[in-house]
Amino acid sequence: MDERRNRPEYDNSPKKWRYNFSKSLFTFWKNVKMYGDKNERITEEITFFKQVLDFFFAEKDELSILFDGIDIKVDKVRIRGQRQDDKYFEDIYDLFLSLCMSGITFKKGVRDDEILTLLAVMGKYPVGREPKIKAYERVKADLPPLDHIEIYPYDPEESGNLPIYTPEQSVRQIYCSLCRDYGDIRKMVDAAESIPLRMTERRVQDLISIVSNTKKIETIEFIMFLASNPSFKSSTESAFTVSNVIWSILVAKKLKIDMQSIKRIAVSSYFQYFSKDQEKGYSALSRMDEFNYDRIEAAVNSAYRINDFSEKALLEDRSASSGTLSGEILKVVSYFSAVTRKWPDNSFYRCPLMTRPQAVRSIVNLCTKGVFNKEIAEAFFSMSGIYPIGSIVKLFDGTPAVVVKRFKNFFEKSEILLLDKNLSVGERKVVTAENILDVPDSAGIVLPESTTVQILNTFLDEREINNEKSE
Amino acid sequence: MLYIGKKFELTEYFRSVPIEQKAQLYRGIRSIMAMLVKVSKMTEIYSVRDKIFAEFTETMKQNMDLIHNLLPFATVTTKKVGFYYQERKIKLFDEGERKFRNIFLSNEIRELYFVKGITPEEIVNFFAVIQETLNYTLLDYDFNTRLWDYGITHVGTISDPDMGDPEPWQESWFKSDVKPVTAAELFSMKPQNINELSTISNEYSMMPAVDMDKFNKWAESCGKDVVVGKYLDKAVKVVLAYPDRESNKNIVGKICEYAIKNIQNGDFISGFVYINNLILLEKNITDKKNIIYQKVKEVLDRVKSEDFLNTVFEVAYGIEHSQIESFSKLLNLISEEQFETAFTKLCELDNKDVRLACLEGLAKNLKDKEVVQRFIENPDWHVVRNFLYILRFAYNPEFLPQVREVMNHAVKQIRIEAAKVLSIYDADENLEYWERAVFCPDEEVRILAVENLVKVRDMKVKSIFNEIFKPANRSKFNLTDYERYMDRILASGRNEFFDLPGSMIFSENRELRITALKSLNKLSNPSMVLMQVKRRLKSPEFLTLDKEEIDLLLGLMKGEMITPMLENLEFIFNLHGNIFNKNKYLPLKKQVFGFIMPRAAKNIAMRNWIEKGKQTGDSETRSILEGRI
Repeated sequence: MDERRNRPEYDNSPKKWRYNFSKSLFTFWKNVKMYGDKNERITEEITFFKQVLDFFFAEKDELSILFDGIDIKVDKVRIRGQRQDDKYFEDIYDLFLSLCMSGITFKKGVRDDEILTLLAVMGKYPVGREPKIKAYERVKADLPPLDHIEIYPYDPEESGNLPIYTPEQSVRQIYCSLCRDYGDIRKMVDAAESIPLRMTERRVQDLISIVSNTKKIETIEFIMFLASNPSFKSSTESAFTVSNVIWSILVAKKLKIDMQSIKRIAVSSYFQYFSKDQEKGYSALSRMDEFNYDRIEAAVNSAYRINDFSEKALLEDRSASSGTLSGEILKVVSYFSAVTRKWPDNSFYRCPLMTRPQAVRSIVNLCTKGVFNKEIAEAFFSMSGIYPIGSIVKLFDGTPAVVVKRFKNFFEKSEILLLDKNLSVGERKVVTAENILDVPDSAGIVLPESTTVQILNTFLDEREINNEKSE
Repeated sequence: MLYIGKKFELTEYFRSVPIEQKAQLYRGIRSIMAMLVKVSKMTEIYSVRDKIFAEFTETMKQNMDLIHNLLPFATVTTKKVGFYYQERKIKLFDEGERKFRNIFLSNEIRELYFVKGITPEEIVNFFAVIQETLNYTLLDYDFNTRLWDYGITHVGTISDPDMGDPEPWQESWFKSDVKPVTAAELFSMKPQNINELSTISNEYSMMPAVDMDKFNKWAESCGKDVVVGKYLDKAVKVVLAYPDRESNKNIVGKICEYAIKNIQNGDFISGFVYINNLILLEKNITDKKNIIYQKVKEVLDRVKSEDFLNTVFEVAYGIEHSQIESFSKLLNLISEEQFETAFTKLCELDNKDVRLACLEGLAKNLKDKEVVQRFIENPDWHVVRNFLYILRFAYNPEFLPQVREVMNHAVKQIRIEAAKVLSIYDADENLEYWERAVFCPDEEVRILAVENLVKVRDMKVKSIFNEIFKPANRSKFNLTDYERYMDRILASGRNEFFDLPGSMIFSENRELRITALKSLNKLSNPSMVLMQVKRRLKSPEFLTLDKEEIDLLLGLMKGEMITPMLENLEFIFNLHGNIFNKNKYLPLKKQVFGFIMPRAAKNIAMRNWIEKGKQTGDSETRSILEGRI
């Protein structure tokens, strides 16, 4: 039978290689246990095992296989199900359980002899079902120091005694995870794998919870500033996407849309542009494991999306969105996020480059021409204000500053963070919008990483700052 | 859905609160967990909409309330080796415990909270979450996201992503392909011209006025179902454009899966939407050997199978009102091939609204005379009655003999239902059945018979009505019957029958006369009984009638009836008693004048009649008309 995984398009599928890794580790261990560590079989095994490791080491510095008592995770991803011809899964569970081991990490540069030593020690002990701490201690004691391999014990009573994040810490966690996952998901789509929706859903719903429940305006301002971040780990695309997620939540919340719908809109915004090939994107989202309306909405919005944000294109094709509520919201927020970022010349996105205040004015202007839904544009405007958080502005004396609080109009006071001569964060100053000016040339600029981190730290919860200081 | 800030508070709360009634709380939590394990096992067999879960829900709610009276939160810690309450292991001697626990471990859940205020609906939905995450472990169902999707706000979790040691921002995260701006560059950038501010300020005032009511209505109208519709529109287009493309197989596979799953989950509205798209695909894929076509065909065949029908009825228990229409449409589809099974199943359904709606839907697929014969002869009268209900909506003269057969059935409900079915057919053709039905012991059947007889064109029907109103047959009907018959006859607008109720105003039976007059009074124009009324006014009996009957007679004085009735009442101007009782007719005269005088202000004929009375009437008449007595 022609297995799907053997087709050429799956050659670079991380999912396939994660399976290969777990299987290879097990058969390798078994062969070492049965035949010792020096024979032909072992040479074959180690060649294949290294080949698998090299696939991952092309992009990562280490690769882990972890066991949490229930699941095996390779490269932090749960290996679900099993292939028809593989019966080794239960055996891997037993192996980890009996050695009371929760995981192994292989680091880039790992040598054959290190791998062989590890497997030889692991192979010395019998495999049963009862986890005993002593079993791990024996393995640990037998192992010589290995430079590129680490093993971890498994605590059968472990119950997660880590501290619970504050809302701000949780926002940071969610933001970083959403940005990091984005690239991985795109690879999965290219490798024709199913999109793992649940982690995105969880993160998005936690973010909605925070936006809905926080009583601190500073938390919302912090979230808005993250939305203004131009790039995450050199990926403008992932920062753009997470910016869309944040803005879609804020706008939908402002429009008093129900929580389930907000989640669907936010999940949609995460997946709307993840594949440049529209058909591929629609197909990938339609390739579902579970019964899920979030995914359906995402599929619809990925099938109808705009990549030419020029005024001419928008005026010519006013119905470019899916026409649904989510589609209309995403049209506004993706416009704002796209035009305020600098894209390479050959980018998928064709759009004018604007500062944030210019983009807000453009939305108002296009709204009068019927491009955007006026209620949605109004909701966006009431959240962004005339100088959205993250805008680069100047005082009349020429001092540059970053907007860190919303300016609802020209007359109410709000706050900016002054930047000093080294672009370090200076004083937090209260001004009216009449006293600051937009800087047209600052459209698409990226602040130094150190400045960005300094600004972010000004938003953090006091408890967290203390925590970090004590560390 | 529990907010992270709340989670944070909860953990602090448990650290600080001394638990005085620890043993009692432990027992309460233990009973909840034991029940959840039991529920988790039951969900493998039954849908959570099954009535078996109603009792679980109630008991669970009681247990929760007991705990929540002591503490606002009930919490359970999940460890790899068991459930714990306040560091004490919850001992559950149930083999299902491990599997149940695995839900939480595989979903990275460390704490499970039941917050005060949990509703029975949330508990049932919580069972549904357990069912999905337990029974579809290979799929991507997630406990936390399902809690959210069901809108459960009083059950929350603390899971791994909620916890960790705070790590500082790292500068490397904010690297960009765009070179960061330098201080020199930024400081040299010119700000916008200050004079532009007033122009910009004006731009914002151009924002069109919003209409939130209109927007909310639009937002509501493009909800989940519209999105699903758009998804399917696109999917069908994509599939039909390239029916051989590999990726399209997956899309169709999912449409098939969703169709089945929606129905299995009791969401007939969505299920039927998917099914309709499958039907569309089946019709439009021309290559019958195509794999997609075959898959679609296979699923549609499955949907129409007896096994699936059984599943459909299992989940139909407790169906919501909004789902009835789609459930009925679905049954309609299934009954194309499984009519008899579908009908038999429907007969067993307790919910009358659902049953009747679905029976109506089934009518379209009833074509076989033999099936009719079989069910009409069924020994269970409930089955026969339900079947006759279908026949109400399945017009087919070929079925008439079977319906007529049961017009005299021993069971009243069947006789009534049969009469209702017969009512949809031409009344003339069934005259002999209606003639008999008029004397049926069942009130409903008699009424139906009259309703049908008034439709009969053959004048023979008049003799049937005469028969009804014959004094000899009066004992067979009660007054309500007569009133209804007269109402039906008068409502038919057929003048040829009107003399029948008209003649009833001369009946020797007072009650019958009153009944006839009441029916005539309901007409806006009773002129078709003018002759009888005129005769009645001039009759010597008129002077002996009681107040109520006279009022009812006078009540007919409307429209074309006014002038002739007044003319026939002129005799009372000079009506008086004999020498010994001169004022004998004073009450009658007062009643008649009292009826006409207030109306005379608006009616010229009545005004003239009053004037005439004053001029030509006797002294008694004048005194009444001039208000002296």
